[in-house]
Amino acid sequence: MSFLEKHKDLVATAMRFAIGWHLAYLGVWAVTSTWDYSWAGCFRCAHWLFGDTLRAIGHSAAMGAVDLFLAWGLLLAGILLMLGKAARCAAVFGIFYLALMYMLNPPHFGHTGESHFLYIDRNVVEICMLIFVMTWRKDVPTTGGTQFIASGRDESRPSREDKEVAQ
Amino acid sequence: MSENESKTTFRDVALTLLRVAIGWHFLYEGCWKLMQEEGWSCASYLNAAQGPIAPLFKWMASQGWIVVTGNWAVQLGLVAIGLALISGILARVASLFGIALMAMFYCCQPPEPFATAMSGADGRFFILERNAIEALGLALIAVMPCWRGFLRTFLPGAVVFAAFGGCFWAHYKAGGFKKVEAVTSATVKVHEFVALAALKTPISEKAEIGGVKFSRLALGGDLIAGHSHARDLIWTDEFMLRYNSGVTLGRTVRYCLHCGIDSAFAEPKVLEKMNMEAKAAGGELKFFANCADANDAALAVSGGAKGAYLRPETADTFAKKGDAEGLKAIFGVLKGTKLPVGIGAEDVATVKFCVANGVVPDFWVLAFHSLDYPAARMEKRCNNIWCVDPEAAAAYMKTRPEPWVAIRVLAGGAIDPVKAYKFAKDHGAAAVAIDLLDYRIVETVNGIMKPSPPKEREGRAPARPTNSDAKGGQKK
Repeated sequence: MSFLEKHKDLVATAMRFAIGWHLAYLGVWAVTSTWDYSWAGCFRCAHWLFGDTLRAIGHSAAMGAVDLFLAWGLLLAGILLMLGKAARCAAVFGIFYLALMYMLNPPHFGHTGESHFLYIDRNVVEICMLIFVMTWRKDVPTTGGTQFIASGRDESRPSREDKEVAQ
Repeated sequence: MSENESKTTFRDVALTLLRVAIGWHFLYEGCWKLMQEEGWSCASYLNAAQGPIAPLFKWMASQGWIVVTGNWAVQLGLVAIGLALISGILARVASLFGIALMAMFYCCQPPEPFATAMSGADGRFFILERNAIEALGLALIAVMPCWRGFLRTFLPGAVVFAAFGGCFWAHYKAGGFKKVEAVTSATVKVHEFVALAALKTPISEKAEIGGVKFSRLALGGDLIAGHSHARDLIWTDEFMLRYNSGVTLGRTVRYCLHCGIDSAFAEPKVLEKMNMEAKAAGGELKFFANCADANDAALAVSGGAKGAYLRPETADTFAKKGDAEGLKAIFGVLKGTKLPVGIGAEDVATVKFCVANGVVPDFWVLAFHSLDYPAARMEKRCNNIWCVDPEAAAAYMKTRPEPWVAIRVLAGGAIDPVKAYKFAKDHGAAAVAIDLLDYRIVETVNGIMKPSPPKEREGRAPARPTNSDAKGGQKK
């Protein structure tokens, strides 16, 4: 195992944590906002896939429920991803949210202020990262916190459980 | 490892997707820079550096050789990293270089708390931002075993190269890399997205006149018709006419509809244009036509207006002359439209004159604004004031059963629209028509819909002590 490969657990955990941080930040911002933060504006200028439906939702009374769902969903999914608890379910929500954002403002030869994109923007990159999170099962510690460091261990070394069994 | 390998199929697919996606992004970013007709330079980016090590980047921008080297390093680096990531050849080395590049972008434009977020910049949040997340994706590619044999590594890459080449060629043929000389539709879409995403809540307050329900905040049409009321600035009328045509008028109407503003008080001559824009935006504007004569009334009817009202200046002139017969005649013409009919006035004396002569419309349209602006204190009246005594006017209007609509509430642009709206509403106006330029619509609606400070909201739960109001201005 090369030097780089030895740290794959650590990197995978850090990546999962970072995406969790991103989603949780959006959620915290939306939930604690003293203004009525709403995605209505985004929905109302949807001009691509399902544009008609999304615009109709943006104009309908259901938008309040959608806002609530997205805000609390982001907060919960972000925290779960950071902690590594139920990370797969959280990743599914994250993928849903990012795909929605992509659909609302697809980067077709556009410049979004972040960078230049040709169809593939950072929502897509983050979606790919979350798909990886969903497949990364065995090696990822599920408790987060201090186990980040422990999880960087060499697979050849015995784990704590192995030691306990040995004793 | 053989046991692990059989379990890692999905993981391989996910990693390949990630590698190819980041590679695609890098490759396009590099190609975009290389395709710029006037070349691309990192100098402006370096000069715009923020955060603790901004001075270093600014110094770098001042050194010619660093800029020249940086230009080529970034452009070719992005392309090379992109090619390597997509093909899978030297992907690990490319990932490490990519991380270095991302780290530099991060340091140059760090997020909060290291620097204040640039207004309108997407993807920058606390401590982390999207460059950092992409760098972690690259780190993942670097630490994962990435070479899985020719078929599993290079074949997807070949397919992706073909797709990229096709898209890139189509983009090139469509002139996508030409210098932007006018506002292109793509740019407009992006601006619109950012502008409309800033909308917190659409206007929800409603008004009703003659059975027509509409938003209490209405769009005023004076600027669109080229009446800027700008006193000494003689160029502004023409400027407003030129500004509010074509793309801008379309945007104004679209923004209004998105923000819940579904009504307009304007001259019939702009009715058709505005109707067309509203239709293009998939909505409808309820139009109240400002009519001075029978021609206007006919235009209002043919254009599908929901109401008509006598132009304030015309009504004032009749009242000043004491010409009740003339007033009744034109009022009769408007009545003939079968629409809800109103009478406009700058002076509340006109309203009194109408009532005294038995001319009682369905609604009144009254110039109404506070006197809290510098030009209101000019001694001579010279297009500086439209409502001499708002308190007295409001007191009289309270005695009338008909609803009244406030117009000229900005006093020729001297008053903040949010304050103007609240002033008119608090004094009993059923609706408020405000002349808004496209870029002021969202912020005005946000200002109007922003909840009052806690002390004014007695009986409700105390507001949470957060500082997210400060963030609100920056967040998309």
